[in-house]
Amino acid sequence: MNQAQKAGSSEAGIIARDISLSYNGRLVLGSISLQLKKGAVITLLGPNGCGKTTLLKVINCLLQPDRGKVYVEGRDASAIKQNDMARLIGHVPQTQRPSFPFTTLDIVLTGRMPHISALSQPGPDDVEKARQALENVGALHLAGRAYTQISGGERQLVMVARALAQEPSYLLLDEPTSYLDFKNQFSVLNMISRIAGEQKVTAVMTLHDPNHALMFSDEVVLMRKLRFGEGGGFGDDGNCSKKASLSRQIQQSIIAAGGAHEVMTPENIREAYGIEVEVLSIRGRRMIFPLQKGNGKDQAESSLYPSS
Amino acid sequence: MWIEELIGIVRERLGKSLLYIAFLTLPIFAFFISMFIGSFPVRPEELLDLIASNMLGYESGYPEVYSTVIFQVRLPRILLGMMVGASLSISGAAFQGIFRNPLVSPYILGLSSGAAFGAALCLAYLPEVSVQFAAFFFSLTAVGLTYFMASSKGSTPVVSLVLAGVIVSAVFDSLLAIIQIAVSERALQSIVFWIMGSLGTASWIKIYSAFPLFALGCSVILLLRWRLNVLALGDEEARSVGLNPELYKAIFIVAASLAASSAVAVAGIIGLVGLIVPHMLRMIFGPDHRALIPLSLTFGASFLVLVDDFARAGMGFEVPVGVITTLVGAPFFAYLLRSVRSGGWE
Repeated sequence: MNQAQKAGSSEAGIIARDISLSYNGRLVLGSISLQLKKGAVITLLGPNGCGKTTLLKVINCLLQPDRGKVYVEGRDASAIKQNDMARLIGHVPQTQRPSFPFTTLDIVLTGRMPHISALSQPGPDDVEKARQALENVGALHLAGRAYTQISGGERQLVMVARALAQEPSYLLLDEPTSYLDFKNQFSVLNMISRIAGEQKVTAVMTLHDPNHALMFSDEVVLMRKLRFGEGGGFGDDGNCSKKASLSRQIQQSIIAAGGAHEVMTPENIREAYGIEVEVLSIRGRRMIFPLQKGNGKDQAESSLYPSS
Repeated sequence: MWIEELIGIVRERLGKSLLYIAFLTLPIFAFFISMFIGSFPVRPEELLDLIASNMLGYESGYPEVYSTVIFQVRLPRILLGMMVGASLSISGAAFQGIFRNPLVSPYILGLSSGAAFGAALCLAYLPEVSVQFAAFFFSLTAVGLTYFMASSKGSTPVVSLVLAGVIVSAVFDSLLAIIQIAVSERALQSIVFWIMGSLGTASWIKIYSAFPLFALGCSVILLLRWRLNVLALGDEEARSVGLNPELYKAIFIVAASLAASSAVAVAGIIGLVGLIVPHMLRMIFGPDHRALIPLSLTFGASFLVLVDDFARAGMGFEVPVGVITTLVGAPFFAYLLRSVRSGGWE
């Protein structure tokens, strides 16, 4: 978390400095400072309501934080024009509400928006780029199909292709695995990490499964849900130092950020989700294994494997 | 179903692009067909001779009544019908795109209620003010009120727009009702007739006065039409690719309202055209606004003119065209809705 302070604003990547945001009087994001390194696959992880989606929107300037600043490649994000921002950052939203049965290619073509000058329309070059983007995600065969008549997994691919058609340096993906079956979750995540490597795109995604985070990301940002009211934080009674430090912690969204393996410790996961887990090593890979509280059988079994 | 099959066959034989060209050139055929239709029969060679003599300035030798019927009655009516049909359809298509809903018409923001109130106000109490101007002014006032009511903190959600439109329409409908109760029988009759929508009062003055704003509104929509595809995916999706949804919503609402208001001001409230035409085209050509918008312009123009041909010559007496668009449109619409899967929209 100190990386942000160390890093100069000229450094490439996205830097968030002391971001706080309240929604309807509830603190959603508390003093977030972090650096998203260029070229990495970064996962934002945390329980429901911890503000992962909100943080993505703040990074993409879709939401303005109450406090703090976001720097994209050293530039103050709030000063970047919407159009320039769309060339830097592609965003794959969580839910899509299909309206008209546009063809898949037409949907991807809308990603060319930041490259199309005022009053003009997409030309043959743009169509070619849109087709390339579809090919990159392995969905070119869907080009002529109606977006409303393809499966949820295919739709996810199409939305990634739309973001790629923007030719961005950063790709923000909000729960790219939601609504997908077991196999499609893996193929989408594989595709994201492949594209991040091939296209030199920095991928920042939110996920729900800690194991996916371990498998597919270089870095993890683990977040907690802020509890409003608990511990005060507004100096209501007394000045007990322990309470003050507790409240400061509760006002802080990020539990840990850094290399996936360093962040995903049983202690941090307990802190985030409130459940006990053990980190197992199986066939050279680490797996996060949830333990049922108070169930001795599970714990005895898992202790066969050394945890780190 | 035979219409679907027919469309399928035509599409297969000619390809979509030829069908597209056919629809784009439809107004030319609609224009010439309409020139011959009417209670005063004119043969093709007579028409050509008349047009030639009028343009080249020589004496045609036909009685004066020929030239009056063709150039002062029929021609302005056809041109006005084309303009009104085109503007209602293009603005309907734009509104459906902005609202991401194919069941929206240009009247969704209170435009028609405002226009009806304005026209009634003039017909009842202000004979010195032009009905066209009052209808135009109040239709835009209604849209402006709706927009103002729906926007808060710099954003104008689509749902708020729809609800505000309902409220503003209701207010103007109530005001209209007060006028209708208070006025004389004769004034009431002309108000009712105006509201029904008709091209019977077409004149060159109406065409000249409505054309500039019609052209302005349509050109803006035509120029920016691809951005309706971007908008139709949702505000946040639009913003993430660098399109300011609030700005473009406002631009499209202004342009579509200008086009529709200028049409309503000269022809009254012609129903269902702005809803049906874009919807039918979407079923045939798909939802891409790059094709849908120009097609709405040409097919809308042809559609209304042909329906008006029927209105003025199909029966023994003249029926307001607005009544016929509704009567012709509704069953056809119902048929398409039932036969094409989900009305081409899911």
